[in-house]
Amino acid sequence: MTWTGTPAIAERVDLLARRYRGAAREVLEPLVLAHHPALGRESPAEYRKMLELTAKMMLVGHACTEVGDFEFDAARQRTAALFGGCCFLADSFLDDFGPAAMADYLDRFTTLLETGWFEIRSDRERLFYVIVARLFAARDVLTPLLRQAILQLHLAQAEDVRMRLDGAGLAALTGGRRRALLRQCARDRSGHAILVLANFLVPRLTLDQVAGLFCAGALVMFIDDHGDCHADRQDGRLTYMNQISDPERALRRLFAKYTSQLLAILPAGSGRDLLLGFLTRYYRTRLAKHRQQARMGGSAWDVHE
Amino acid sequence: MSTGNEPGEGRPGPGFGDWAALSLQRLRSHDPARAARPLLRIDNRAEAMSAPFQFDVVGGTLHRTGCRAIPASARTALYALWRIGPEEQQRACPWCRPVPSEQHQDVPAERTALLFGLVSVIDQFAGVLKERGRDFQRSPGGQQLSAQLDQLYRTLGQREKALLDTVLTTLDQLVERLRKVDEELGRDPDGRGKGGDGRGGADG
Repeated sequence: MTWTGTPAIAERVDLLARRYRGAAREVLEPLVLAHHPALGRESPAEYRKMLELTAKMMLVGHACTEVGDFEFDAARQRTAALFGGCCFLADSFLDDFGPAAMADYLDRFTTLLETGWFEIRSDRERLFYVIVARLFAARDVLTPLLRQAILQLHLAQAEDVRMRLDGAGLAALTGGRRRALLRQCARDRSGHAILVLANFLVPRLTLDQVAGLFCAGALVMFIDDHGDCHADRQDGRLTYMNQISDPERALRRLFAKYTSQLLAILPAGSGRDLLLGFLTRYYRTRLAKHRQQARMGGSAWDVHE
Repeated sequence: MSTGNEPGEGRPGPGFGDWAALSLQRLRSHDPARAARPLLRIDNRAEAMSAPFQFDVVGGTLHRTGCRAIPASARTALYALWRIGPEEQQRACPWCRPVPSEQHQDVPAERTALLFGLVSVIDQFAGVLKERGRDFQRSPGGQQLSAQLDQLYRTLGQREKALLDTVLTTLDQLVERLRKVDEELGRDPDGRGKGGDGRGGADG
């Protein structure tokens, strides 16, 4: 089964992407100014990247909400924006401050999930914690599926970190085994992340919706890793997409496989169309990003639409 | 950033919720003994292990917990379920054939858990809440609210006053009684406290 988008769906994705850039700023800027003003002042590129990621999360959140048959109202838009900010900052703790900070953050986040306590040591962490607290207050965070999704996402992040820190262990594996582990880790990180987002936005999801959204989330990570392929290599970071000989062909296959699954699992509707429209646009822009970085070089700090 | 303002100038600053959340975390360093007790536990792996069903989100297949047909690659993508409906049968694993069952509990004793949660929060943070309450009472907003409540109370008839007093007294007694029950439950047979939150999860 293949999906053929329409110009109307592509236009809707364009329109929402533009709208949510502004909406992301409206939600996050007051929090950044109040808790971590240096982020905008001293790292404008990072701040723009945060807003861009947040706009993307809002767009995905919009699709998840419509898949769940709810309206993506102002409260849900705020929640999705907070989730975007939260993901960006959490990723920054893992990616930008070295191995010791990465392991330390994971330990403290484990404590947060086990006890609710989080030791705040910097403005960035204060901003992160305030965003997490607002998110947790947005919905009953103790619903079984949401709790599990948060935990599964954390475990997937921890596994990713473990592999990054154990380069020798990963290198000792056969190529096939290494790629299988990297592929599973990528699938889980983004698959569980979209389930966290969807559960913050929709009170109840059917099993079909859960499976369909996980599948969409997994695809997002493969697309993302293809876009970041050169920057990741530069940073010495192994991903499934930078360990295969023909990543563009592999991504094309993954895209076809996952979108077919999505079509088979999720019922037809505006939510499914929006999700597929977003994935198609993301796929195209990341193919372009990959080619551009192959020609001109680039880093993880480049901001792409 | 688009603003030329100083941080926070002319912008909404941190709200009361942010202040409360940050203050709670500060308690950890001020009062390690109180902070030894969990504030909120998201990690529900212990409860999830005893759930009767597991949903493999990769294959979209519903299993009985521990089914041998669950692929190894899906072990990091299983979600525990406590109850399944007839409409979810279409995703059932043909090997273990999970069936909807009335006796499986979803979230046992949820109301009791909520009540215990409320008592636990009041108990754990009574000092902070009282301090905050006194500060608020002294503030202009607090004094205004206090005056309004006095006015409201004066306008109530005898029956309404009696009803309100009964409700407040009952709540107070209920909290006190639950706290005692909680203390009893939290003791080992030899009478010592068992530590931890000891209350289990809401979805056990």
